[in-house]
Amino acid sequence: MNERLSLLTALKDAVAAFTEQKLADVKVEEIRAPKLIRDALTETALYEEHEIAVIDLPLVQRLRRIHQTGLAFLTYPCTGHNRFQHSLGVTNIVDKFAKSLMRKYKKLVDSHAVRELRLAAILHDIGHGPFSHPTEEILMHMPEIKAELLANPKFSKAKPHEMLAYYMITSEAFRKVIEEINIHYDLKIDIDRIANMIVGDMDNPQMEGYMSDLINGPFDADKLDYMPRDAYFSGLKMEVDLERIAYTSLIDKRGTSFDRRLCSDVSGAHNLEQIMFNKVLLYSSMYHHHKVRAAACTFKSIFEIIRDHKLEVDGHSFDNATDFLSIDDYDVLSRFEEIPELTQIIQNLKHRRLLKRALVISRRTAKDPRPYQRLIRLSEDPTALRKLRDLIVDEVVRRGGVCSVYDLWIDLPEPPSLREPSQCIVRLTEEKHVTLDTIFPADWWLTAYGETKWKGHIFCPPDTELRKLVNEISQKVLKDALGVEFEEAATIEAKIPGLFY
Amino acid sequence: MKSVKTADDVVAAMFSFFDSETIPLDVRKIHTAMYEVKREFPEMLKEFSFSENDVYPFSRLLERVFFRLQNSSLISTVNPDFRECIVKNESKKYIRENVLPLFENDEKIKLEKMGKAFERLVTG
Repeated sequence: MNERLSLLTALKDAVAAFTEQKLADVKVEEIRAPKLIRDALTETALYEEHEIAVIDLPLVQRLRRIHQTGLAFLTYPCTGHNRFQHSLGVTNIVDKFAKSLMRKYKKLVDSHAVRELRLAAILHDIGHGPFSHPTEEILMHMPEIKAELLANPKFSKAKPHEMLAYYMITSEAFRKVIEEINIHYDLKIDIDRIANMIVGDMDNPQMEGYMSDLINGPFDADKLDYMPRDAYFSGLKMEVDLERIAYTSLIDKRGTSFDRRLCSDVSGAHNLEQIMFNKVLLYSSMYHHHKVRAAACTFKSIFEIIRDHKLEVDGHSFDNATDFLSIDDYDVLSRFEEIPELTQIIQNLKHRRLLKRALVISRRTAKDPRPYQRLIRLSEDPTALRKLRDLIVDEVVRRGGVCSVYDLWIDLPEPPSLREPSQCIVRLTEEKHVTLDTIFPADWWLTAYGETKWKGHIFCPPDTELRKLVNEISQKVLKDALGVEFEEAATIEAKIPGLFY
Repeated sequence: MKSVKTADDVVAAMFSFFDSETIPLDVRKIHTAMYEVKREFPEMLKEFSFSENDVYPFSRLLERVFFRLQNSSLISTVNPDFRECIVKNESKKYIRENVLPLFENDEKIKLEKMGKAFERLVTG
């Protein structure tokens, strides 16, 4: 217990120290007037003076240098969009929703609530590490992050980057900045409420439930921005009817357990269904695209090399979460290249020399699905997967192949969460409310996604002979270690020249 | 390679103690039941974190575990309406032979109690 407590304190203190350092030279600037900021996707929108002061903070400006969709730009060339653009998009969308709710609930939603919602949107992603999600995959297995997410009910539905944002925002240094802004612009911004919204928590659900739902809820502004934004920049065709979703959004006020939560009129249900459809499409087409996953694996190798070789980059060893807050995508692609042990792997990413498939792991490609369970259950256990990788590489090298463990990955990507419909309240009549999944059972989709779409892979360097060798050896290692055997489809789908292809 | 126990193993082991072959495939009931079971056996389900302020307690890890158990056919559903979650006797046998040996005897006793409690809560 003491060890867990010390981990929790260490993380909070480390994030606070990091935030203090980043804000050390920051002075709240005098902003002369509101500013118009153009966005390619949402709209040209006006930002108040205090919002510009927050946007100008280095912690927010850093988001310009973090890709929204990780390394997907190596596969979908137009996905160069970043977390900064997304954060402004979320701000524009939350504004639209809040003002729609304001018209319906004048006594409940006021301009102060809109102001805090907009600031929560601007700040909601400041805890992201380089390339966003690939870093998140590293963070979620760090002991201090796991301990915190499990121990603190406040973070019961937060992701690692949201928890880090919470600690940054509630640090003394950040509070001081907001106090200055409050005084300077004559505001009463409650930074704790903003931090709560980001992690989907609420101290006073009877008053604020809908606010947290708008920032971190079943159909929050975050989703309503990232889906159309990722689709637009990737070139994937999909629609989200924002106007209609905002128009049909309601606040439940019946004095039940759903009290003051965001809900939708039943007439908007099909628009919410459309979002779920889009989510599945984005996963199967982009987020789980084998090339996108291969690049994410190479990214994770960078930090395995740093850890295994006890390296430091600019004084950071990346054995703790805050080190990832200290860098951005530009640092990874430039500063890291200067470290001799990392030069090759960074150049591989820069020049798009990506790993290729040696074996496809899926329900369809496994001979007997039950032993296959012994493999896919390891997706929560990177240490066990690393041991398997070591076994495969040892045998590859023994057989004369040239391959390092950093170039060989067993990738079992996290399936999409389709929790939203089971958590989204739909108003059928004034008295009758249900959750969306009673109208639209999206959990069936998750089952279908698993059966038809989800794939894991063994990736290795692109040399054809090496791929053949890794294909053969990995099948043997997985059979010996876990009893899992594969159909020919596992090789056919890997598209290795000369092997069925 | 020595096997380690995972969250998937805990849930699979619980399911092997079901009296029946089917439980309703109802996300709300499943997550709420597991939340209740965790309250009684916190040390066995310590990796599972449940949201405290949602319409019902939800665990992202449980969603992933369910996905994998379905994906590997240890539990199955029947088209077209996916209303029931099926844990066939042959799956239970597989789990008893391949998953349960990962646990100590005192853990197996707890897992049996957990499985029965979960089944009662979900079907009740």
